[in-house]
Amino acid sequence: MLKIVNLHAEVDGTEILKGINLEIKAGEVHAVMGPNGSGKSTLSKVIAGHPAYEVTKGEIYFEGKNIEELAADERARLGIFLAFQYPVEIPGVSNSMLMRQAYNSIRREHGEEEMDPLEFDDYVHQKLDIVEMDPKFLDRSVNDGFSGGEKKRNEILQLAVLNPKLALLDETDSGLDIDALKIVSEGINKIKDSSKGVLLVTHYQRILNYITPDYVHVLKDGRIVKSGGKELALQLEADGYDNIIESVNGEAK
Amino acid sequence: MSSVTAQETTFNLDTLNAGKVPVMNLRTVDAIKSEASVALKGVPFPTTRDEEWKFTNIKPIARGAFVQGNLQSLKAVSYDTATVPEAKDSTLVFVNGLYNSDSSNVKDLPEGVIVTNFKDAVEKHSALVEVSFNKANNFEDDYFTLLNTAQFEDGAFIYIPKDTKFERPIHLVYITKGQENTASFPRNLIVAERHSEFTVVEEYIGDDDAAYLTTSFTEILLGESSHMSHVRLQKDGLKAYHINRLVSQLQRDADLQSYTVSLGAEIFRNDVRAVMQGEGSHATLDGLVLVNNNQLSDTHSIMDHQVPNCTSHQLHKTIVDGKSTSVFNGKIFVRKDAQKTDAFQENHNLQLSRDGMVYTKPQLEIFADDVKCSHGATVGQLDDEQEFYLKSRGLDDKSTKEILTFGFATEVIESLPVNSIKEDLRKAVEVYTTRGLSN
Ligand SMILES: Nc1ncnc2c1ncn2[C@@H]1O[C@H](COP(=O)(O)OP(=O)(O)O)[C@@H](O)[C@H]1O
Ligand SMILES: [Mg+2]
Repeated sequence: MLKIVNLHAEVDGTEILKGINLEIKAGEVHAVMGPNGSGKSTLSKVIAGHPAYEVTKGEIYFEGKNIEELAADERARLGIFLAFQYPVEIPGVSNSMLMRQAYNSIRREHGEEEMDPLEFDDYVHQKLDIVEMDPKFLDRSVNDGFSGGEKKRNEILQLAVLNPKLALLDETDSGLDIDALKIVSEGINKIKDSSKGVLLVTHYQRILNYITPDYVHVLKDGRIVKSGGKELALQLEADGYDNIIESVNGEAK
Repeated sequence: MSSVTAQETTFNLDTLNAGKVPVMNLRTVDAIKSEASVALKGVPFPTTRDEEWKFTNIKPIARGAFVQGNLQSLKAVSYDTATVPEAKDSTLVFVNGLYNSDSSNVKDLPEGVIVTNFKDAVEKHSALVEVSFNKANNFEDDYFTLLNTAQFEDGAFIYIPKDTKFERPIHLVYITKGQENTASFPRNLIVAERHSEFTVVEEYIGDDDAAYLTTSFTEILLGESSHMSHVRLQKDGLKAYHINRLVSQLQRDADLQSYTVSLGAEIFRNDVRAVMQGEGSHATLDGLVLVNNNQLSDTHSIMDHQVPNCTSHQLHKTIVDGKSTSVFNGKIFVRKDAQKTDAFQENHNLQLSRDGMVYTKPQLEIFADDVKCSHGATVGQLDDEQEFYLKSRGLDDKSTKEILTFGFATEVIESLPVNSIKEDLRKAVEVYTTRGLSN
C-alpha cells in the first residue's frame, strides 16, 4: 500500500528526514516511535504532501504509484488521511460543512454521486457514535475553541467519515486522558480493517496497549534506527529511547 | 440626455434638480436645507490632498453630470416585500431617492410606532420631525453631508415610542434604476424613545450597468435604555458611487448594534459615527467589506466616548481581491470625563490578490486616564496551515480558498439579527469567492 524508499526531506534548507525506508501493507499497523524532534511529524506531513517540506531524494509510492508530484488534496482523494498532532482551528467554517465537502470531493474522485446534506447528516450521525461525540460539535467551527481532547476526537471523527485507505495518526494519543484515550483507540480499532493501513506515530507506548501494532519502528534524528514487532515498544517503555539508541549504535560498531 | 462636463474636481451642482433645493414645506427643515445649500458653495469638493480623503480618489464623481431621479423611472420599478419575509409587512421602498408607495407595505404597527417616508412625516408628524431633524448631525463642513441635506427629497422616518418592543425588522429598500448619472439623496431619521427595542435594515441595490450616485445620510437618536439593531447592506451596482454618512446619538444605557456589509459600488465611502452622550451606553459598529476588480471601499468611523462607563465594539473585516482597494480609518475619542471607557477595535484584512491595496489606520485620542482601549489590525493572505489542513481532507485549491474566505467573512455575518439576510449574505459571499477565484 505505502512504500517509502530512501526518503530525504528538508524544510527551509535543513535536512530533517535522512533516508527513511518503510513499507506498509494493507491490514497492517505500523507504530513509529521516537523522541521529540526526531522527525515523526515531518514524516507524516511529507507523506500527506505538506508543501513546506521538500523531498530531496527517494520516493514515496502509494498503491504502486509514485505520488511525488501530487498535491496534498490529490493524495487525500486517493485515500491518504493525516490526523494532525495539532489540529488547526478554522473559525467560521462549520465542522459538518468541512466534512461534507471533503467527503463529496472524495466521492466525485471515485465517480460516485455526491451526498446531499440530509443524507450526509444521517451518515455523520452514525460516525459520531464511534468517538462518542456530541452532535453539537457538527455545527461548531472546525476545532475552534475545542479542548485538546475534543480536537483529537474530531480528527478521528473525520477519519471515520472520510474512510481512507491509509491513516497517518500523528500523536493522536497525546493530551488525552485515560477515558478519552480508550474511546479514541476503540474508535480507531473499529475503523481499521484488512484493507487499510495505519501509521501510528507516538511518543509513548500507552496507546499500543489498545491498538496492537504489527511493527514498531524507532525514529531518531531522521532515520529509522530500529524496527521490530510489538515487543519493541515494551522494551522502549522499560529502557527508554536513549538505551535503545545506544545499543543500536553499539551494534553498528 | 445631454451630457454636461463639469470642470475637473468640481462637482456639478447645477445639473442637480436644475440647481434648486427641494422644498419640504416645514419651516425648520427648509431653513436647514437652504443653509446647507449656501454652505455647500463654500466647501471645496474633496480631493486626495485632504487628509480624510488621502486614499480615496473621487474625481470620477466630480466628472459626472448627475441628475435627480424622476417619477417616471420610479413607476417602472416594483419590489416584492417578501424578499425578506421577516419584514414582509414593514418595508418601505424608495426608487432613485423617491418614495414608492406601491411597492411599500407597512401593516399592523404597534400603537404609536411610525414607519413612513420623510415627506409624509413632515405632514403628519411635523412636531416630531422638527424636534429631532439634524439634531445628531455632527458632520461639519462635510461636502456630502451638506449635499444630502440640501438635496434630499425623501427618505425614511421611524419613530418608536417608549416601552415599545417592535419585533419585526423594519426594512428600508433603496433601489436605483434607469439611466446613467441618476443621483439620489435618501435622508433617514430614526428616533427611539426610552426602553424601546427594534431592528432596522437599510438595503441599497442597483443596476450594474449605470454609473449612478447615492449620497445617503442616516441619523439615529436613541433614548435611554433603548436597543436598536441596525444592518446596512450596500449591494449597489458595480459602477455606482455611494457616499454614506451615519450618525447615532446614544442616551443613558442605550444600546446600538450596527452592522454594515458592503459588496457593491465602484467607489464606496462610508462614515459611521456613534456619539455616546449618556452613561452606560454601548455602540457596536461592525463592518464587512468585500471588494474585487477596481472597487474601492473606504470606511471612516468615530466612536465618541463623551461620558463615563460606556463601551464600544468595532470589528471591521475586509476581503480584497483583484485590483481593489480597502481603506479603514477608525477613530476612538475618549473625552476627559469619559472614565471607565471600554473600547474594542479590530480591523482584519484578507488580501486574496497581489494587486489589491489595503490601508488601515486606527486613531486613538484618549484624554481620560482610567480607560481600557484595545485595538489591532492585520493584513494578510490565507493561512498556510489552514490551507494544508483543508487540502489534507481532499478539498482542492479552489474550494479551500473559497471555504477559508467564507470563514473569514462569516464572523461578521453570524452576528446579524435577521435570518433570511444572513442566509442571503452567506450566498453572496460564496458568489464573491467563486467570482474572485475564477478570474
Ligand atoms: N517548518 C519547520 N521549520 C523548521 N524546522 C522544522 C520545521 N518542522 C520541523 N522542523 C524541525 O525538524 C525536526 C523534526 O521535527 P518534527 O518532525 O516535528 O519532530 P517530532 O514530530 O518527532 O517531534 C525538529 O528539529 C524541528 O525543529
Ligand atoms: Mg510531532
